[in-house]
Amino acid sequence: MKPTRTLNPATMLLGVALMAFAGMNAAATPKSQGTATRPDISGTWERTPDDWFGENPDNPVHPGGPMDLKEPYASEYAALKKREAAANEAGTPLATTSARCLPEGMPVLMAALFPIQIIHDDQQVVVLGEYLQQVRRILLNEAMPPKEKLDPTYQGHSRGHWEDDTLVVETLAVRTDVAFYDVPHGKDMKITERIRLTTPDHLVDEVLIEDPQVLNRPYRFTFEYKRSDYRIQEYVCENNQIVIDSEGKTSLRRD
Amino acid sequence: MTPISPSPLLRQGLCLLALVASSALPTAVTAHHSFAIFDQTRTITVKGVVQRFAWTNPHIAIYLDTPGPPPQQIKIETGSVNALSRTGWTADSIKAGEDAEVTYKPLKNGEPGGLLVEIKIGDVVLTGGG
Repeated sequence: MKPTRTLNPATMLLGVALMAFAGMNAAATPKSQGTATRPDISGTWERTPDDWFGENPDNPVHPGGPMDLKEPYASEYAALKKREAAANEAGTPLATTSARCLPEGMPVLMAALFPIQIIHDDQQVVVLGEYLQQVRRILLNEAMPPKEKLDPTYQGHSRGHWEDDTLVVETLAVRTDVAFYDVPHGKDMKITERIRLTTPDHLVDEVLIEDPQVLNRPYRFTFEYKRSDYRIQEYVCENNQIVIDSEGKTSLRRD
Repeated sequence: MTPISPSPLLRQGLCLLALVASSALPTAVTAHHSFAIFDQTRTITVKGVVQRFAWTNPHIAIYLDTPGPPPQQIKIETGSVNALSRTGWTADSIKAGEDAEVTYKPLKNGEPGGLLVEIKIGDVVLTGGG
């Protein structure tokens, strides 16, 4: 006969007490609050309005207007633009990281040149960029490690939490060879985003870039997205036809 | 080789989709590299035989043997697999051996190649795009 186990009253009391404590503890954590109020931002998103990239796709518009750069970055940016114009005229445009099939990095990933997909649960928000199969992971309800412990990456290190209906995300340690439409950044750049639904099918990402090394003042802009029924596809940059010379000028391979 | 044509309905759909696709050209071509390598002020149309169709990222490429004179192979680039898939292109849209008429914006450096405007194979017209 199968043995039966009975609980004595003391054990039951202890169990009830533990359950009550666990419930109180869960109710006190941001994670639990987030679960209760967290909007569903999952899905595929495309930028809106459709002409967001501006009139000249070779010279994308910075989404918050011209960036107020410190010296020597302002002069270097102006000189780069002149070199780019001359190289374009000659039919040998200057290489970007994309021409090397390298990730766009932050914050350009969130510009969603190709659609992005957001997947999230209680622990993380994952942003998948179709272009170049980029992946960005935003860890929720974890303290950002000290910046000296963060190795630079293309998408940086992101930590987030929900404040009511808004996902607030901080990002540090974006590689300094990642440029924001030709504008460089310092190693201490901090990106703060406030991401929220304005309607079930419209998402906004209010972005603040603080970079005392490069920027005279913090730079703000908003990316807007419309919900899409498109399914993100594979994108492997397996057949890069671009040849880059020693001056960074590009041409198309013959073969 | 005899070209394999889609049904008239699909053909019409492809043409309509291709027209829609053309509006996406500037953005997505720039996604990978600048299209300043192409001379946007000139348009060339040639007839030839498809030697190879590279259904690849970051760009799809069509290699076309043209009779000339002089006979030469031109390399025509267009958008990404991802963008053109959304407009009706498939990995079978173009096949080696098919007769084709290609309209393109030539390379500024004068080499035989350019950016696809459209390709006609039989009654099918596919427009280049992002």
